[in-house]
Amino acid sequence: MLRAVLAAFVVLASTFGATSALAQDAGQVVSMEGTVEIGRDNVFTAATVGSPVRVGDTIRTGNPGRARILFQDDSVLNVGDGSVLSIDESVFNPDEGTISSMIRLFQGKVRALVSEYYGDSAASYRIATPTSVSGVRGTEFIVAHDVASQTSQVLGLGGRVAVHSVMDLVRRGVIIRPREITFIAKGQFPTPPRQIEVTDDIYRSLVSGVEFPGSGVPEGNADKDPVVTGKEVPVDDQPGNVPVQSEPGNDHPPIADIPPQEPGKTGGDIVGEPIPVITGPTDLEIEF
Amino acid sequence: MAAPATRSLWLLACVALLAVATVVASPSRAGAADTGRAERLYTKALAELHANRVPQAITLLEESVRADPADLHARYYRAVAYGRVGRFEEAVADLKLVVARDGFIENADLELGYALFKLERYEEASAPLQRAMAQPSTADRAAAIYAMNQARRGRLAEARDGLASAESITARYYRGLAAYRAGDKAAAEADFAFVAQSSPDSEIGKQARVFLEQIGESDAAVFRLHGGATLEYDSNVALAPDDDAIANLYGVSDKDDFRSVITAGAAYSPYVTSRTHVSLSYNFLQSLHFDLAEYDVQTHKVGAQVALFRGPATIGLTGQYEFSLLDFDSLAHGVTGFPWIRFEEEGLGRTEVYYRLRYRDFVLDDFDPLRDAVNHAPGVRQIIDLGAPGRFMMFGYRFDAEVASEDVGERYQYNGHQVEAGIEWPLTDTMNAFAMYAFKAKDYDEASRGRDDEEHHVITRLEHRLNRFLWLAGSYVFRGNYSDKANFEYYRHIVSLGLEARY
Repeated sequence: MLRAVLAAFVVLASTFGATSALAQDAGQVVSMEGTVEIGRDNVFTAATVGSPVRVGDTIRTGNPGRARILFQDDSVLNVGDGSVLSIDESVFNPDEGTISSMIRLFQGKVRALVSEYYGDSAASYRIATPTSVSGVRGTEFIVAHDVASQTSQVLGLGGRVAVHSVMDLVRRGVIIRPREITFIAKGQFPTPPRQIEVTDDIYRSLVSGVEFPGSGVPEGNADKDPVVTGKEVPVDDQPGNVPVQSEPGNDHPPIADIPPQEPGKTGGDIVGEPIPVITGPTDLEIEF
Repeated sequence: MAAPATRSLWLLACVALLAVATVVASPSRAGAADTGRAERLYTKALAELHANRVPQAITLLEESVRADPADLHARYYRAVAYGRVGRFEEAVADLKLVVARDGFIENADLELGYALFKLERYEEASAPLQRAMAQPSTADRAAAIYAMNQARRGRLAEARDGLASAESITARYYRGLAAYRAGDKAAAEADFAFVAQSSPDSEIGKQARVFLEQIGESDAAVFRLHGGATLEYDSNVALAPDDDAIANLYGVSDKDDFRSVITAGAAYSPYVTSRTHVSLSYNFLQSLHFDLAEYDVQTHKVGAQVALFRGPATIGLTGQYEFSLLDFDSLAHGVTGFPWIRFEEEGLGRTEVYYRLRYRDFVLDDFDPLRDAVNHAPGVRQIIDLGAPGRFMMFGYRFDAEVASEDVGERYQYNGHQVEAGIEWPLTDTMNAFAMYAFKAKDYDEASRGRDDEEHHVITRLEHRLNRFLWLAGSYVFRGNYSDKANFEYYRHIVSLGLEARY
């Protein structure tokens, strides 16, 4: 119920909050598993592989439900189970030097793999939660927000991430480096970054579920083969080409006589010797 | 104390060293960047793959693997992309690396097995397919491919056990196929009915229906009839000695002739189950020579057979009574007892072992009791399948002992050793070729004064199926008997063309 209310609120908020390129595809779902829905114009529809994602869209995932979204700027967003987010901004005009993305995470967890385009100081890639805003310059990180505790967590995986509280987007921020984590509770500033080991439960919990969706059962070729799907049957496996051991007619005894066919038989064949020799003069023995 | 210039140099060197050390000490940055790049590249490739732009996907995936050779997702999807364009060898190389990291991608075993299956490396494909069958997420698809793989290996019976819990229509089709082949019609019927009902409009559903019809027909097929009319040219009807002087002496020079051969027969199986067949048969043959009337042969054979199907083995006992006429005068009659066993070897072929015991009692004065004899002929034959239905090679050996019933016939007693090799090869869907060579060495009894014969047989046969019941058959048979007694040495060529009906 909470998720539905939240999603409805998000849809309304993002409808009014979206800033640019409303009708343009910002990216597409390239891989998914479980329930993934895209909300657009107040209507949620089930996403499939290849579904376009646009600015103003709300993405929500079920439990289970994971998606990988490829954006036009080559950034990749892995959305974990039970997440709700909106695409608030996605501008990609590298020729004009305007590249910016704004994703709002209301609940759940995302892993962002930010493309090299954001190495440019003019480019801006941000992920906002109700308590934090994280901005990056070409990197990989995880942002999670827990609605119950009203706390966000930001974990660095590569590069640097600038994290601020929504209370002050300029000052009192922290820089997160790989394997560093910060917590941002409601009405508070980010905690000082602390190192976290990959074996740490918090690290594991954050990383889990935002790996490549479909890692369990990704697509392949076997399930597309027309023979495997029953659209075709190889000739050798069709009726008439399958020998049956006990089929009437297959109980013939081995061939014991050479030649195996009856035609060709003469009296001599039955007698087993040239008839004229046997029936010829018995007193004649011709030896050479 | 160092001069300011020297201190500046030291400071510069330290800063440079520190910078280098920083770079060297941060290998994870470069590795991480490559890892991220690899992931972005294969994600992009995935979008290309979905849009069916496979070459573009392959380019991106190759770049992705270069960026991070350890990224198994990149390798997995490169294998998938290679597979889409039939580059299965390269796919196998990538998939083996993915599979080596146990359980990383559940699909990997299935895809590896599938790629090996496509490469016709059936034996190698078995293991990954079996592993894929053990995983719930890939079990059904793997079962279908495993069944096909085992069918290609000729080990469908093995696959049947592995498919016990299969649910997909393809897997059930192949389970039905395995049961059908093993003669378990009830199980085959259940599986084919499931497939036909589950997917009536698909190709596999249609084929399953044909199987169901065949099962219904075969249950009723307890009568078999055959008949034929053949025109033959025989270069040596009388088996006249090759030596003209001897042939002239016996008055059988130039005894070549055409003849027509009429055959007819019927078999009735009063008891047919998937484990036991009982059948009775009658066969008739009449040859009618165009010029040489005294060589016409007529035979009547009445037989009974019990065949037991026990797993891969078929055990049979055939008995026959035969009565022959020469030029419409009674020639001989005899009985044959013929126990045999045929052992099916999946993936190889079959072995036949038999023992033919025949007693002939001649009634025509010329041969009675001279040729009355018991013949013992135990033999073994190995048939090797050559990868397609009806295509096989065979090799055999038979010991053959003729024991005269009366002393007067002792000079025709012999011990023989026969080796044989043959091949059968379907040329088209309706045309079949058969060729065989047999060599038999016969060591005659001392009463023959040391006679030793060597027989050579060449048999070739080409048959063309005209329709469901009619065959057109042509054959060439050579028989040469080389003997150290010239009056027994002869050569013979037979060419025939006939029309045969089988029902």
